[in-house]
Amino acid sequence: MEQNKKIARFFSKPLMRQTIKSNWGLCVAILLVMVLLGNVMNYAMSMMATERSDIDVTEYQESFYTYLGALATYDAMTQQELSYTDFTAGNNETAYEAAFGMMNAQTNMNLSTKGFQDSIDGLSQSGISLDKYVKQFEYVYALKQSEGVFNKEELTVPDMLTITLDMMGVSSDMVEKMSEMNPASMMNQMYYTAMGLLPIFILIVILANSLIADQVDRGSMAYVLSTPTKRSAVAITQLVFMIVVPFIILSIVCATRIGTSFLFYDEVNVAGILALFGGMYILVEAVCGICFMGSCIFSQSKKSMAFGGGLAVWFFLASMIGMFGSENMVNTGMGVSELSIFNKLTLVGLYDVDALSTIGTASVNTAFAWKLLILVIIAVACYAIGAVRFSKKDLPL
Amino acid sequence: MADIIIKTEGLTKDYGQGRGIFDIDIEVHKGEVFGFVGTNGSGKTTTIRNMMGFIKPNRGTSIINNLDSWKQSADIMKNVSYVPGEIAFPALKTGTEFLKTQAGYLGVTDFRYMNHVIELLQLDPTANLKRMSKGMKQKTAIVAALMGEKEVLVLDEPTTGLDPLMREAFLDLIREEKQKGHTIFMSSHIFEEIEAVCDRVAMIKDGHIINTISLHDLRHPVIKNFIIEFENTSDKQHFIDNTDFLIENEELNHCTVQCNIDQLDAFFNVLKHYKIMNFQEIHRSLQEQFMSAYKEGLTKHGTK
Repeated sequence: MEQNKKIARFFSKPLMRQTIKSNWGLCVAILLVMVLLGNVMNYAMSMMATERSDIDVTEYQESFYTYLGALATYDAMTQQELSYTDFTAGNNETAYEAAFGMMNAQTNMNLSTKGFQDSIDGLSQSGISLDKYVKQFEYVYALKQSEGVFNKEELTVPDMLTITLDMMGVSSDMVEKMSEMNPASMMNQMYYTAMGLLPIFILIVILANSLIADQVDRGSMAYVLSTPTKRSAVAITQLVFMIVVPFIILSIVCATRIGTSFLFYDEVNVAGILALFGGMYILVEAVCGICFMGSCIFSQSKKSMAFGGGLAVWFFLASMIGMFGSENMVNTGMGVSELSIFNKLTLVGLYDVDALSTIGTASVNTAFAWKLLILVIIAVACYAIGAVRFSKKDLPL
Repeated sequence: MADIIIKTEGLTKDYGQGRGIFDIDIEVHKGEVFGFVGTNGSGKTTTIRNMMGFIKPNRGTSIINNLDSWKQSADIMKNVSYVPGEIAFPALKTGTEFLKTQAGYLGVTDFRYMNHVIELLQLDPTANLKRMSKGMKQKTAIVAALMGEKEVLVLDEPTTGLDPLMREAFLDLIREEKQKGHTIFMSSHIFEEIEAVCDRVAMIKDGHIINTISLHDLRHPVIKNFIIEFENTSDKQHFIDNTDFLIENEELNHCTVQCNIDQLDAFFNVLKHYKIMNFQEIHRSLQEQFMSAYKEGLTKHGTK
């Protein structure tokens, strides 16, 4: 009788093969969802970045308004109809040269068609339609040198806007803050602490349950343990699977994200993206460890599912609510700073996206380090407790 | 003592409220087919789980091949195959895939014996594991356990779901294993099959072993019972009055006589003088043995 008398003490290759065969479909599906989500998000962020330009156009705006003012005065004086639209049509340049010449003579200014064109070109860098500037000028011009009937104070456009908003019940402070908010940081926060986590949380909750508790509950674990395979080998093999699978998935998502970033942006902070995904992996492993521990402690699938799934859902929800307490959300008027307490009630709160995204920039915020260390300790402790418990407990097989 | 393969001593697993197993003492010798019978919920599976090292006993020990079931279960499994009572397969697609995986665990590389078993049980392993009928699942589980050709087989109700033909084929397999000198421990609640293949039987009730009998003794009892029908009642009365044999339930012209096999000759000599209408040996089946032991057990443990 030829028999292989080896005992699997720490690792069982057939079990790993079986685990992979039983679970690869789900893993691939989640991977696809995550790749899609990550890259669409990336695309959306790149669009947002191009819509808002950081170029300072104040100078051009001033110069543009000076020209428009000159034209308005000239039109009023000479009964002509020169305007910005007429100028850009470009078939009446001599009339403008004449107009500017006359204005220069009268007011000691230095106006020219070339100067007008320059201010137009400069202002168009802002990405806002010039028609809007012209329209705003109309208001400014109409209100010019007008003063209040009662208080004799000057009436200005910004004042009017503020009053109007106040009457609509929108705080003008908020509008000011809104222009200060950082949409990139908000989108990052949303992706890394909520949307990006959901699919992989679902995956690890299901995996952790099906790798141990479900097999014990249904009894199929008997076919593994009635062979020369130690329980420690079963626990360690499944544990390795739980460590490797999220790593592979996040690596692929990270790689595609870096790849598409090179398509969408001119400059890519590769180190920053790597750090964000690295932190995400550590967070995911901490949750993995908790789910694995639940799966090892409980012999009933539903109890293990309730423990692991319940905690994962809580972490996710608390992180979502906590996001409404973040500075960005408060600035947009969609959040209340009191809600940020939820960030302290979830493991996701230990994943400091803002600090991690400073990696690769000039000013690195190291606040993320101790938080990630706590997550690592949680992961290691939970995995260890789970594996030991599984090796010692009664199994209803 | 090298002869003893499975030995439990005072094995106790108390689940509370009188459930569990208490002070189970079993000895299974090498090459023996040992039956384990009991009603549903009497503790058969709990005992087997203890022997396989899946659960830790509260008290007592279970030893297989001189190795402790709880502490050295992986070492024990080198020589033990197990068919679980509850059939639930891993999440694999087909029976073939499952059997291949199982071969991987067991380190089986020679599939001749496996194919022989598959043929004997007329199993189609290419079927989808989840769609299999109960009988097919059972067959698959049996193949998975037997393919390792281990020296000890532990079978928890291995024939549930099998049709009578397959049950016969399975019993042939057990006999084949016995021929090879393998030790078999099987639980069941079907007396016929235990009677057909087992050498010894332990009966368990409410977690206590109530009787261990050798089927050799059952098949070849020392004391036999006969029903004798006489021509008329006076003949019977005459026989009863003039004999030393133990007489039971006499009625009309027939009675039951108990007789030691040593006395058989004397018994027939006596009977020669009468006109006998009918003569019949009462064969005591395992089931009857169980029923009587069960009732005894009821009075013994029922008052607790």
